[in-house]
Amino acid sequence: MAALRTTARQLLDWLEVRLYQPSHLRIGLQDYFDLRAPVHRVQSNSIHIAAAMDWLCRAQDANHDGGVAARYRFSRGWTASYPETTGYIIPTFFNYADLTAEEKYRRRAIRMADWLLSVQHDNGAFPGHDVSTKNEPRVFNTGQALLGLVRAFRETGQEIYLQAGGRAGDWLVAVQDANGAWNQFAYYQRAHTYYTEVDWPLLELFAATKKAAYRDAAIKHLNWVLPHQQPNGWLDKCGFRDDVAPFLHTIAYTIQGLLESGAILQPQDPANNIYVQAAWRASEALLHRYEIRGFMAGQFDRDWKGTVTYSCLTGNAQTAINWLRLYELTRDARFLNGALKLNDDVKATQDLQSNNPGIRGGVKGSHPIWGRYIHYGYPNWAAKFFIDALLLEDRLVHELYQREGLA
Amino acid sequence: MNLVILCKSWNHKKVLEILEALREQNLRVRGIVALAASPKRPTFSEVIRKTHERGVARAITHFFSNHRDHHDRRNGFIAANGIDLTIGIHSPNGRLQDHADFQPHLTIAGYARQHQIEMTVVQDLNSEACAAALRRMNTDILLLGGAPIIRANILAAPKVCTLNVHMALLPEFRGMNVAEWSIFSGAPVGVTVHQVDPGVDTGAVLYREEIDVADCSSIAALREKVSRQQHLVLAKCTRWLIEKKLTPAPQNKAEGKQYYLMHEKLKKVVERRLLKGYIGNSDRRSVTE
Repeated sequence: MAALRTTARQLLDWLEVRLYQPSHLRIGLQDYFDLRAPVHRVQSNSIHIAAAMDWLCRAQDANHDGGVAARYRFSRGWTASYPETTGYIIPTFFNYADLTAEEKYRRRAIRMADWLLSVQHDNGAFPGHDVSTKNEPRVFNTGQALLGLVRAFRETGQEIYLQAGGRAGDWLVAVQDANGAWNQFAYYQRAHTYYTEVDWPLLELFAATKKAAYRDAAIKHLNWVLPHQQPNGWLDKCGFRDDVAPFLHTIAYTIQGLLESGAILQPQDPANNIYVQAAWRASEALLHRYEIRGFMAGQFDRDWKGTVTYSCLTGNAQTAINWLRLYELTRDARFLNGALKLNDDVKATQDLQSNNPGIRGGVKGSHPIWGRYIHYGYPNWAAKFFIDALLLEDRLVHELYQREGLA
Repeated sequence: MNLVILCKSWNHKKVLEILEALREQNLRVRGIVALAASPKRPTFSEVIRKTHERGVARAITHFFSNHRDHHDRRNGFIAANGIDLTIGIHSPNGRLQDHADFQPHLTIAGYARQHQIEMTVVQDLNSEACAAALRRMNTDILLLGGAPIIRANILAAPKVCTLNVHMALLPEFRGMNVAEWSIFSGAPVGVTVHQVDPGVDTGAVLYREEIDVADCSSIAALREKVSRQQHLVLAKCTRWLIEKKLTPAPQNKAEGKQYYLMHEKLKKVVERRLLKGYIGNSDRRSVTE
């Protein structure tokens, strides 16, 4: 009876995600048989990046409001635009515009920034989740929108973005707890260490405005995070909830926030910065797990043991970025080596041929697609981090090859 | 002193080089304990995946060679003339590594029979059966000939110690592809003979030797040279250990790092440096001998 119920539930699940659609069925079968593109069929980075950029452009065009649709879902197609991730997609578009010298990407980034201005709350905060419903202000989402606003100001010189960023920063400072944590307006109303990813935008805002309150708030939170690190490098409270093993996605956020904050605070000698060193410890543990198993799990426990058999592709791309940055800051080539492999792993899962515009060039939340993280969906932030990772890889490998006379 | 080699049954080249090097040092091997090759029957998913990766024709060839190899291995230990011929060097899943390897090789079993060395094949090198075989052979020194990570029950079996030779200087370069990583880091290439403990390449060091690789113009040539050299050094150290001429020095783990399989993009850098005639910089080492 139980087996019958499970089968019935599975069938209903498949109906809901419209597996009867050929493009969906194709992905389902590919993932069932683990038919990733073989290494010899993985294309050069530029082709994968261009495909993911095209996917992000389609996600932006899906809602005609300037924001980027949060994801493509097998069940209902494109979702509403998502302020948080639109915020951090802005720097990706500016970077790609610089690389290709194509003005259209710059124009798109500015449209995103303008849309962010339109969804900002009066108190300076940004709403949680997408704009399909009226959402409460959220600390984390505000931090990510801030990243885009500061970059838009730097690129255009228009004060309106910096003023909006300043209001967001003021709100973040105002709702911070005395001990540096953010409990109010936090996901599940509890403090998280992955909010280091809010510290980094605050430090970017400080760099643009020179207002010390932003830097002080960031440092206060970073110092609240550090004691949460265990001797094995693990950072407590790095997940959405305490009772579920954290996704690699939020683990990578935590590490990135530490890393980028440390790099900003101590630019002359980042390798010796305490926050960079904390990021290094966590990253080395993760690198060891990945290299020994040859597989990056989507969720980890406090002993760095993978607790699931699927990969969180978003987290893989984020981790590749972190490792590439660690290589850049510390010259530990093991991180470059691991990042190259991780990027190959994600590239092998990107579908470059599908007729479905929601699938072609996108990056799944999980591999296989029914994994717990954004199951049966293609989140915009997976494509964003994937592009960032490949752009960074190309730059660092090019620099290395130049030094060696190989370029 | 009873010397026993622990290895994989398909690791012919490496083990035969060790056996020959030991023979040159006038050291007699008491026995060989080898891991049995156990190719699995492919699952339906594997068939689909291989067909997707390689196309129908190459997938059929793959599974056919896997199947044929399985039979060769099972029967390969028994040959009329005492010398076994196999169709190539194979990885554990039976995949042919390269067409260039399509040439006859003397097997470990054939060599053992020729030289009256006892050989036992076990299903798991960390099993109690393996430990029992080592005890039965009255093992004094256990030599690793390309074995996986060995657990405490096996390490407890030999009366003196377990020795391994590592393709880089320890403690700086632990782990895999370490000859390549030495070059990538600009450090000298070398080999280290060390006692084995439950960690990865963390046991006490007995001997380190640098190797001049200026004449190696590719990674393949580098690996060939270091590999050949390491077996000679292992044999030499085994003799010195028996003669009590070596004292183990514990490693300081903090002085080195663990390295992993190197990505092709980084191997290009190593190839380039080798092509230009690589000479390691001794200053890149953090410890002195």
